Amino acid sequence: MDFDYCKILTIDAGLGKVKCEAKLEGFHYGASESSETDWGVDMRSEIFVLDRNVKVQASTDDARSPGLSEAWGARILVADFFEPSLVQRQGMLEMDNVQVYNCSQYMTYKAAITWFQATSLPSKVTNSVISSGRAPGIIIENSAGITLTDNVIADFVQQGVWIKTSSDITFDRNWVHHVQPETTAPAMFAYPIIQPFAVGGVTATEGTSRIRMRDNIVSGSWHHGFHFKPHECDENTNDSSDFDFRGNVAHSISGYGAIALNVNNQCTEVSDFKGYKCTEATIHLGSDSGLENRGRNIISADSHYGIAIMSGGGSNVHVKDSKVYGEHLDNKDCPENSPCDHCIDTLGIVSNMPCPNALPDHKTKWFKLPLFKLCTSHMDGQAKFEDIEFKNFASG
Amino acid sequence: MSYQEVIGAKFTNVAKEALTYFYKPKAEWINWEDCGIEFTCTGLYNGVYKFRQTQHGISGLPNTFDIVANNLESTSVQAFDNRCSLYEPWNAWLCDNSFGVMMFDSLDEDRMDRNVAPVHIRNPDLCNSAGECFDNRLNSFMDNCWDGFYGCQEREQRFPSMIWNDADYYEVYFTGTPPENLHFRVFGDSTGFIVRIVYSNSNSYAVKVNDGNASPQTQWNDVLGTYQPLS
Repeated sequence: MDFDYCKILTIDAGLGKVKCEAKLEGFHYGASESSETDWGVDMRSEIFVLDRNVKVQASTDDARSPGLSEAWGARILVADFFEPSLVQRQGMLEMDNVQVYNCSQYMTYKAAITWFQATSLPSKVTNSVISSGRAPGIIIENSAGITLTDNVIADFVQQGVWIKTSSDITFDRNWVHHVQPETTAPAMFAYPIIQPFAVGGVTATEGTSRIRMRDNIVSGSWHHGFHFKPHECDENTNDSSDFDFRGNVAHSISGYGAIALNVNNQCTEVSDFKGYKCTEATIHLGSDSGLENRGRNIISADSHYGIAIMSGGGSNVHVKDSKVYGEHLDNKDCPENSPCDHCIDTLGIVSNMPCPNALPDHKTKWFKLPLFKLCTSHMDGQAKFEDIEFKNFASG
Repeated sequence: MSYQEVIGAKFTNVAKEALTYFYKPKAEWINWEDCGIEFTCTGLYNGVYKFRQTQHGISGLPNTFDIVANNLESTSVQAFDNRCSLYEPWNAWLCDNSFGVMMFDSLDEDRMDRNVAPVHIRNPDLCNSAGECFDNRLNSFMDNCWDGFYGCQEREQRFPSMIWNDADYYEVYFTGTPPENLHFRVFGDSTGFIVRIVYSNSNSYAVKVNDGNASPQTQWNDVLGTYQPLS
């Protein structure tokens, strides 16, 4: 994904023109009308304003020790803890329209904002911009009662938002962009071999419960955009569900748009998701379900493997009421003169690749993707694709 | 991927050659660690996709049809040249709506350890215009796992075979000693056919249906000189 900063020199409100201080380096697709009618998703570039009047900004000029290669990035830490006198301190954070800039520390898991063992008081972050860090953007661990809505979380390393062993988290209408696996720009498919789940856009499946994740956009991350828990078939998820995952969009992902955690339902379903331009599949599900793995109301455009619902442990596959699209030529993968290494084929739906057990739901080694790789020794489980619309696949 | 159904699909601005593509099994899989040294794994050769109530604007393509993998190492779909035609861009055959998959497994204890392949599915009454008759040679599945640097020599004895639904019978020849216990399934619209298994020994076998009960013993037929076939 092409990600550019623009320092605005002038604005012509009448013409709707903005002049940047420096020329943008990447290709950014734009159009006067949304591409949603023809392509199922609005593929126009996302632009967000970084600036807020209230700023939390890391110093960039503090003294460096021989062991510290760069300035210490600030971070906001929210935690409950006991003083030596056994007085309990309760952590909470309320932020609205705040800019958190240049925070999070290089080569650490000290994120720009961290909730760690913050369970006593609710926290809320809204309409804020958390950007331009050298480590993960937000980490929520062993915490509860946190609401993040309408924020921009951009330009971080390894993870945009990482939620672990936490409960009662609301993550709605946020934008998460440009989350590289390393501080230096890696090759398109590659990411470092580190702990499981450490690379991604938004990851919220390790020991979590009561997660509400709706109407978010993730782009420019590696391995996955979203890592989420799927629900039981025909379940209408809501605020009180274990994991309410709806209306989210992932695009321009070097990996999967969304990966469903392996769960143990008799019938497991992923639904209401859109993705485009992912180098693996738009969405993946491969649980060891007794009866069926199901995909419903999914839109996939110009992703390498399209929709990837697979049979785990002999379950059948059923994909229905979904749409898949080919390549939108105006929104170029590899425009002229770009340093591009990701011109890849587009499939609408990849054939069911059954595995004797659940398929993997993550890979620490990038070269072991796709997740259905090596599932060639079983072939039980049948597939049904019902009421699928295929559009704009011009060549074989 | 052996049997898949696509129902009610709508194709808009989709070229015929972009409709599907069937990968063939790799020749590199012919080795001790993957599919054995005789021939490659044959699951990918036996895929059947059924398209029903399809909407498209592709000339010469009906709304209901089957696509069957192009088996390069057997006479399988090739035996039905009156019902199927090869379409190279798909690496598959466009067929009428009369094909399915028969899948059978060994249920024996040694189902992962003892290889009974090659297995041939034959019907000498199903022949093409060149006189080549249905003889589908099947391999067992690829080695299931790795044990350090070595394959763990576990190959599932499961065999999907494409079939024509309306055949009266299929003969199953195991080149290894046939498994004692077999489980047969048929996917597609077949109303049924007889499966004849050539056993290497004389024994008594029971045929059980889905509920686990054995089918009644058939009567002796003096003309055939054996028991009446199952109907």
